[in-house]
Amino acid sequence: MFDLIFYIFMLTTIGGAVITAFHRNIVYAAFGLLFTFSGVVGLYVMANADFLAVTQLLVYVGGILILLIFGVMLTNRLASVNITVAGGGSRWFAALLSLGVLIILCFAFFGSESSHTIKTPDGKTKTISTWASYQSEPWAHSPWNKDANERILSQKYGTAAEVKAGEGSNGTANEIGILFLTDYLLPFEVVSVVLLVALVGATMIARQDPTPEEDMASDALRATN
Amino acid sequence: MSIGLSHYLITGALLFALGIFAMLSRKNVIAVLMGVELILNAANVNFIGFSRFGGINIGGQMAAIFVIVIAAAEAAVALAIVLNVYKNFKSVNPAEADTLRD
Repeated sequence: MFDLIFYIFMLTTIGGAVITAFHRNIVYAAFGLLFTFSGVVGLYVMANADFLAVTQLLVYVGGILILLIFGVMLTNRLASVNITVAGGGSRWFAALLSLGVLIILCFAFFGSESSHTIKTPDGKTKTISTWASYQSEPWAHSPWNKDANERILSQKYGTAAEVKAGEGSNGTANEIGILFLTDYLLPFEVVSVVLLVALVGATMIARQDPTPEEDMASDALRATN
Repeated sequence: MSIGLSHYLITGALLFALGIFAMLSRKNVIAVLMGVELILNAANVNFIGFSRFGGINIGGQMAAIFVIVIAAAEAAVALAIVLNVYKNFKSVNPAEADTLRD
């Protein structure tokens, strides 16, 4: 049952992305994007990322998608045929490059024959398979994140195995809030300033020219000075 | 075969490839932006897959939240630029806004 629901969400995601990438009508492409975002929300829920799923729903479906549709409406003459997206001459190039990227990614993930040599702490070298290392010792030697993981695991409600399976957990919002104000405090502040500056800048860029009334008002002001 | 890391990685790779295709083949700047959003979502799906099945428990979700914030900022600024390009060139085809070419 779990698998079936996962495959439904995966199909929604990929199908919406296909419509977004291939449909000639850009409004239909925007609706495909809606399906993609909703499917990704489902994938997040299946991976026990509840806070992130809600964030995705609010920000992407409720914000970015509406913004994109506003962009479509503001830059197209809806009554004309201009709304369709003409296929370009670079289509074959694009198909070639995206297929190449897909093959490279799949090879990087699943080329189970590929192996690499790591140095163990006692000075010896050891050859391990790349794909197996993901499954047996995932990111065990990652320099970042180790403290956060240990703290989360130690203050947990159950054993480490239960935490990893998402059982006995009260959701991730609590831990994410704690981490935002401890380990990730600097990135949190920096990214909030970046967001503020970007939004103010976007408002400035998209602002209309001053209306004639304002022009007259400023002229009158200049005349009085 | 039960759901594992590989399912999330395949989904992310497909989303990424489709986003690359949309970015390169579209003749409308807004459709190109949709491709960028697909690519950012592919990165997020990979982060969440590794967060659940790859052993970086909560760190993947933190990274994904930052990606979402940056995506929101990018969409806002890009839409503002697109509106100005449309005002100046009366077109949203990126190939026609070529004043800086010479």
